[in-house]
Amino acid sequence: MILNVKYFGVLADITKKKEEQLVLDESNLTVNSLKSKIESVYQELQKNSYSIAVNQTMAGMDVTVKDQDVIAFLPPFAGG
Amino acid sequence: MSTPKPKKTSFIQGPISAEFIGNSIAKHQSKTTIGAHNIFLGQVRADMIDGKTVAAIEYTAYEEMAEQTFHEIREAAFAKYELSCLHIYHSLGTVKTGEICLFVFVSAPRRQVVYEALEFLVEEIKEKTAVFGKELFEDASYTWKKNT
Repeated sequence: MILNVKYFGVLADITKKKEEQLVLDESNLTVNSLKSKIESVYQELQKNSYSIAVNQTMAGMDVTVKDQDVIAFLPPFAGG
Repeated sequence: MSTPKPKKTSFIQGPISAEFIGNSIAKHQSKTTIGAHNIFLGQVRADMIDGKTVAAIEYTAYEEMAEQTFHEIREAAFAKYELSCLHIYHSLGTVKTGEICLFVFVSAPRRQVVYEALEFLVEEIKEKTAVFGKELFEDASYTWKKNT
């Protein structure tokens, strides 16, 4: 499956990109497994606290992601 | 997500000017059922962090998600309080210290609800919207802002 992954704020500093497309062998996987995969590529992410949104909705670690989903890695919000 | 109402845009490039705020107030003169307005203005503060002074904040957002959140917060406020109208504006891009980065404007027939509604809105915005702030120092280094 193909996932569109976006990184924001300090997380984009770490990955050195704002978005990327991931092509994975799995047909579905949980947010938690995806998080582990991404953190193995960008190990510095492990030192940060962040949330993950799937298709613009905040997602728990057990949510399943599927083909063409948009996954956003979001550091703590700092509006206002 | 299911509400079909047209969505407003809450983001403004750069600081929110006094003129913009003044014009927003003026636009309400024709709405004569309103008896009370309340306004919150967020201003960029020159915080001192590790001996360096913040000169500006550069705001970025997950815009699609944040606009949806602003919409949901707006709907929640209308459901909770008897308001005539409300407006939320947040800056994107660079806002210097002393400039305005958040403008929340609520109006109602009577005063009591505007105090409560405004506090509700500002707290919800700070907690729930996917906005990020890079605090730029005078020497061009930066740190990522954390809300307290």
